[in-house]
Amino acid sequence: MTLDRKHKDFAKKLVRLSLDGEGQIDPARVQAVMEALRSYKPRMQRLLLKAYLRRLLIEDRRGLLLYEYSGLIPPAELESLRAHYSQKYRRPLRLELQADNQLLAGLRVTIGDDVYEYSASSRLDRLRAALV
Amino acid sequence: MLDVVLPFLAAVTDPATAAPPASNAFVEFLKNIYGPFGVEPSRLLWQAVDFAIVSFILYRFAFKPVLATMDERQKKIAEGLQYAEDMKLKLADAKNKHSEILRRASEEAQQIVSNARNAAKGIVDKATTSASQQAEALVKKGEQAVALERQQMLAELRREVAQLVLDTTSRVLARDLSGDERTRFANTAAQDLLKN
Repeated sequence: MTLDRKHKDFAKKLVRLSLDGEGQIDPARVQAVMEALRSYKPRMQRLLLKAYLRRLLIEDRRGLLLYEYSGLIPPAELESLRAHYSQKYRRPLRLELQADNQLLAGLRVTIGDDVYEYSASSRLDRLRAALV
Repeated sequence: MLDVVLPFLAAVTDPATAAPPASNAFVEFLKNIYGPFGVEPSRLLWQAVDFAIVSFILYRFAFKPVLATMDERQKKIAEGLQYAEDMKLKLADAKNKHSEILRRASEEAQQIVSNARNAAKGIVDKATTSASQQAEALVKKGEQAVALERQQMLAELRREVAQLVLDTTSRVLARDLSGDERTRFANTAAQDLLKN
């Protein structure tokens, strides 16, 4: 059994109900939605829950600014970046830092499906692509 | 001569009107001439008649068939000769025709041989040209293959050198970049991202 269009739209509405006034996922609202889904029959409950979680993860990823780096910059610069992209994407973004020595030097910013990279490894990769 | 012979013949054929003594002189004359030969005037007429009869019989039953046979033989010989002449003409004509046929056959044979030679020459020329073109194509193909292989080798070499350089650079950067250098690079990167 698969979800039809109507139930997918319903899962999308559930995700919107899970967001607070700033567009962030509110754990209390998520809890409430989960409770509400318990009223459905088990099979439909499982399908709706699956679709809901998938869309919730996508929404969570859309609100995340993943900052991967090799050489940490000052906190003020990080905050400036977060504010810059929050304004650009028109939604509040939460910052998550992750060190990555594979970059050699520089940084990589990931927001949803968009990736902004400015690193020594990416430059070497471009050079490799041009030469090889 | 006639004036002597005619009275004699008249006397012989008609004894009643025989001439007088002049005839006797003539008889004597004949006796003197033909006597030594055994000719007697009294038997001469009968001898002439016998001769005529014998002559007639001989002519009728001997000479005429013989002459007819001779004429027939002569006719056959003439026909044979004519036939031989005709045959000679026909033979000459046949020889001429034969010669003409031989001449035409010889000309046709020469023409056929000439055509065959021309065709063979054309085939040989064509084969030679084709072989030459194939050889040129093979050489050209070989040159292209060698050039392509050379290009591939150069490209492969360039890739390997570039790969080696980039790997070495990556290892050197990962090992030798200091924390300050990394931070400075990251700051520059952040500034660029903010500008864009």
